[in-house]
Amino acid sequence: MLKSRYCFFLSIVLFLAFCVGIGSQARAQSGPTNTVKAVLDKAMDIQTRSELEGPEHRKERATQIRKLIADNFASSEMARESLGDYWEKLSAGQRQQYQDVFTGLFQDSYTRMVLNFLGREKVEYPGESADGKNKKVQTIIMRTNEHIPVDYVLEPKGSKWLIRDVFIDGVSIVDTYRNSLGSFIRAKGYDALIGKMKTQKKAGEES
Amino acid sequence: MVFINGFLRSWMAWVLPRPRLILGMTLLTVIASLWAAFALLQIQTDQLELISTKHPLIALQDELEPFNFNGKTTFALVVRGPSQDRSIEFMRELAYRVQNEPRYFQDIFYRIDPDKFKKWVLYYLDKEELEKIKRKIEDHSDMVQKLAENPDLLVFFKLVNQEMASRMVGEFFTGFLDESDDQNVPADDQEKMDLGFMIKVLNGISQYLDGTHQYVSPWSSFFNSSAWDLEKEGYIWEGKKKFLVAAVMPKKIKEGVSKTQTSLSELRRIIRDLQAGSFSDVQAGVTGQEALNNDEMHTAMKDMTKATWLSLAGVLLIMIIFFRGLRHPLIITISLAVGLCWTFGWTAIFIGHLNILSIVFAPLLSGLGVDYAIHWFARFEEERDKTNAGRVAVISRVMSTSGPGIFLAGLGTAFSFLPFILTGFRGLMELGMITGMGILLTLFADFTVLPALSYYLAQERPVLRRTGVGYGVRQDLLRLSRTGVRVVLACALLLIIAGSFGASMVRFDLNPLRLQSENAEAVYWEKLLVENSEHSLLSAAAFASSPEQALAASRKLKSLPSVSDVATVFGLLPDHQEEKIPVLRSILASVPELDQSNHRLGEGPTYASTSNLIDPEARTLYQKELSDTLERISFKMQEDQADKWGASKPLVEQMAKVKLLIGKINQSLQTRPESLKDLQDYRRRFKDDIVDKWNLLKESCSAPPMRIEDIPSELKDQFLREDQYLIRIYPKESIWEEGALSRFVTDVRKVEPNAVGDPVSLFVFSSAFKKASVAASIYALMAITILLTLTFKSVKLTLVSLIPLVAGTVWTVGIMGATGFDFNLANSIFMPLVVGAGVEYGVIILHRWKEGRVGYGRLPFSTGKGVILAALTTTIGFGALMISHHRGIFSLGFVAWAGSICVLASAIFILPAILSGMEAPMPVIEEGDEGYVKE
Repeated sequence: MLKSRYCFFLSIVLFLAFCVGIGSQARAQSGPTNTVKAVLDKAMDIQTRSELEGPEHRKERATQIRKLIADNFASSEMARESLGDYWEKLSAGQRQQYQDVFTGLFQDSYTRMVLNFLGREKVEYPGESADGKNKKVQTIIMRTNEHIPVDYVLEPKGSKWLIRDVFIDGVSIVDTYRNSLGSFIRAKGYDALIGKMKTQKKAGEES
Repeated sequence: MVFINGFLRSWMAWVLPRPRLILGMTLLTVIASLWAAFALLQIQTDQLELISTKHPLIALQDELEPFNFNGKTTFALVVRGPSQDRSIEFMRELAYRVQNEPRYFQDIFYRIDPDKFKKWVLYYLDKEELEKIKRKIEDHSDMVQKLAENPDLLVFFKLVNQEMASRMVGEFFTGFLDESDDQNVPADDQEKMDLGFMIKVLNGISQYLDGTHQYVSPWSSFFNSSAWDLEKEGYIWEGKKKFLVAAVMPKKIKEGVSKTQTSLSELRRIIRDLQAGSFSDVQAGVTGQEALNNDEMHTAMKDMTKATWLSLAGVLLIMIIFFRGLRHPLIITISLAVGLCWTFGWTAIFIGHLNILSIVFAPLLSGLGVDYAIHWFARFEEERDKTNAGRVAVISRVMSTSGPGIFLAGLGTAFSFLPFILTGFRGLMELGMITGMGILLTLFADFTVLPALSYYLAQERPVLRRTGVGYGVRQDLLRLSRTGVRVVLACALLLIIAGSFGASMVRFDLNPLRLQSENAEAVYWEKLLVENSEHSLLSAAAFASSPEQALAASRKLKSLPSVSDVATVFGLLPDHQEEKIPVLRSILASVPELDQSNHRLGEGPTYASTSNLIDPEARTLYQKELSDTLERISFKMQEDQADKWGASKPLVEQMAKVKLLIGKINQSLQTRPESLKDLQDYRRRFKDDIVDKWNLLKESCSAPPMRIEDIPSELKDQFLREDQYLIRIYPKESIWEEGALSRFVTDVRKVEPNAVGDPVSLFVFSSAFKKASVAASIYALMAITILLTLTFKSVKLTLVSLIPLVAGTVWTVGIMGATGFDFNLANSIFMPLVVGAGVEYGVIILHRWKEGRVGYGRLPFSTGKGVILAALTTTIGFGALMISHHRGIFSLGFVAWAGSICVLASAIFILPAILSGMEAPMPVIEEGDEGYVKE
């Protein structure tokens, strides 16, 4: 189970970040900013569509959101980067196993977050910048008397742009994974980590 | 008796021809007495001096005095505000005003300068608390490092926001790594989120923007320890920090009840002024021994003045009713007033002061002293009604018949007070001397002023009685048949048995606080402190001449079962300093050097925290960046969703508060142009505060252990002076209970025979007073017995005359038991008072019986009337004390009032019944009887 204390702070922000990434209609010819915008609109549409509102449609919304995550996030890249140098020490089998577990865990977190916190938000797009072949799209979530910057790093994948990292108020999700998982492996080893992740993933699936 | 008779005849022979001379002399002496009283008479409030000025304890107590603010008299000032901050504000304002009134106050001690302790402040924390600080610094190492590089308000908020975001992202995606696999085992001991520190900072900014430029350091909230807020340190708190206390040293001014009364009134006026101004929400009062003494004496003086006038008025009224006219009561009152004036003059010249015990003498004298004149006039009217003789003849007749009895009764009463001198207890000695001498002086007035005034004013013609009883007709107040005698004696015995049973329930209550007026301000605050303090406010004290001796004695005293705590100068040093050194040094290592320069750049060109405080453009840019950062923080405070995720209620409340404050601050920054300047003011204070705290942390972590010589002198001097170590010993139980006090003092004295201090003084005082009261009663009884034996020359008659006293006393103590009154420091002296009254009635009745012609079981009307009237006036004299708010004086009034009624009942019923069983004496035919109607 995720620790409950801080999840709500981040959930809205991450949801919005997620929204930017999951638009299956976002095409490379639209550019990274348009991709982010399309995904965000799509995600808000799922959450606010009248026929899907209410707790009785929660499962249906969850299925659609989970599919969008799978379609628009570069999960395998994120999984590789989340282990940092330790990735090189894993066998091919271990890598595949880790990618599966990581992707499932990541998607569970996002799905739950979207279901709980998505609303109709005003988003500003101040601009985008290049980082090698990747692009960084800047957004600001605007609310009355408060806002938060969320930056998205997208990479081209064929004809699509896929999200491979999100910076919440300057904090990278991938970096956060890398630091925490690295510390855990150093303290308890890889096997303990994969065990823990499996347990967490199972708990997420059951809930 | 023959001698007294002869003496009185001679005296009257001299007085009666010279009434003008007598009255003229009286007027002059009364004027002189009143002048002496106003010029010389003082009020003494020192309780220890009530025992004796030469008591060894006083000398020992003098040794203790320098340790208590250099022996200066102090008032205890107590403040209770709605918050600690308000209490401190009030105390500061009050201290300022006190310091500006040198006419009334010498000084005020309300705070130990925290700067003198600053260096060792961290040594005073527990080792566990130090470990927590260390962890906190390590947990926030990035923030600490960056703040050290640029200690600015904006940097602080940026760092907080960054840390919050990092922590939240971490918690959300990888928080499961900290959870235990076992559901029953809690998550890793990660520090719970607390927004208290940020709320403090936001609150401070908000207040500055509102125009309240009062900076409150937020760092105590960060470290969860008030040690970091030196602004709040050094104050003296009691009752779990609910009461802020201070010592005010008054100037001694010779005005009012005591030398400190004026200063006390002034201090209370200042408190009222502050409360009427901006401190209506703060309660404050003055207490402590000096204030208690002042209030006690003030209440007692006020009540005594009222009681004296009430007593005089009541006595006059009773006499008017009994004598059916104004003339004789007026003569009696004038004679009594002369006696009182002489007593005041005598007291002023020979004693010079009144104390809390002797202050009651005036109403007592009013009740007791008036009796003799009443007996005199009762007989006067009887003798006048028997004959047509002129005033002089009747006066002479009264003097020769009742004069000796009255004189003896007066001597008896005086002898019930004068033996107080033998008790050795100064307070009682003075009361005995003043009241005994007062009785003698009143008696003297009755044998000079009274006949002289009667010479001119006494009613010559008898008032016609409605009963139609004419001259020479014999009247009795009481006629007992043989059965009546037996019934009276049986009832008296039954009442004595019942009284004995009631008496067994009477205890001795030592608590002086329970004697004082409940409404007295000093009592109210003293009780609040006693009820709320962690340990007793009063402590015993012992001295040691070396550290080793002090520590050894301290250990022994601590092991005593009746001792709760022992304080020495060593206790002022932090505990286990050596153990804390490694932790302190490791904290020091984790704290980076602070860059205090104003021009260091942060991240990027727009990092406005580098801006100076004067450039308007830079100030605007700074404000914009701050607003932006605060909005980002506010975004994270989604308290409406927090409960869905199980966030704790306090955290949700904190989030709402953060959001509210940020909204308020940003609105102010956007709408009030002057808020930019306020913001810069706060920014400057915030930076100064960081620098202070950083230096404090560094200095305290690198300081060597504290030594005795490092303790500030204002504190050290209360335990160590000129190589003399003071050990303060605190009792475990309430010392206001006699058993607990006795156990505590006895225990302490086993280890330290020369122990002093308030509990010891109270123990010695109350023990001495109890002994003195018992001794006074015994001495009074002995003196009376000797006097009566010499006078009556008969042991049998002496014993008979004491019967009203004995029976009346048993009944009185029985009434005390039934009504829930205990013996206390005030009413323990009731016995000698009752002795005076009891013997007087016995002697008057017995003396009349000895004249013969009384008859079986009878009490002659004039004698009975005199005794009843005298008893009623005595009752009023004592009863007037019951108007007192001072509960000690009230209880004395009640007990003495009940006692005088019991003694009266015993005298007029039991004595005639007992005398009926004795052989009646032959009628005495005296010179001058021939002109009177014979029975």
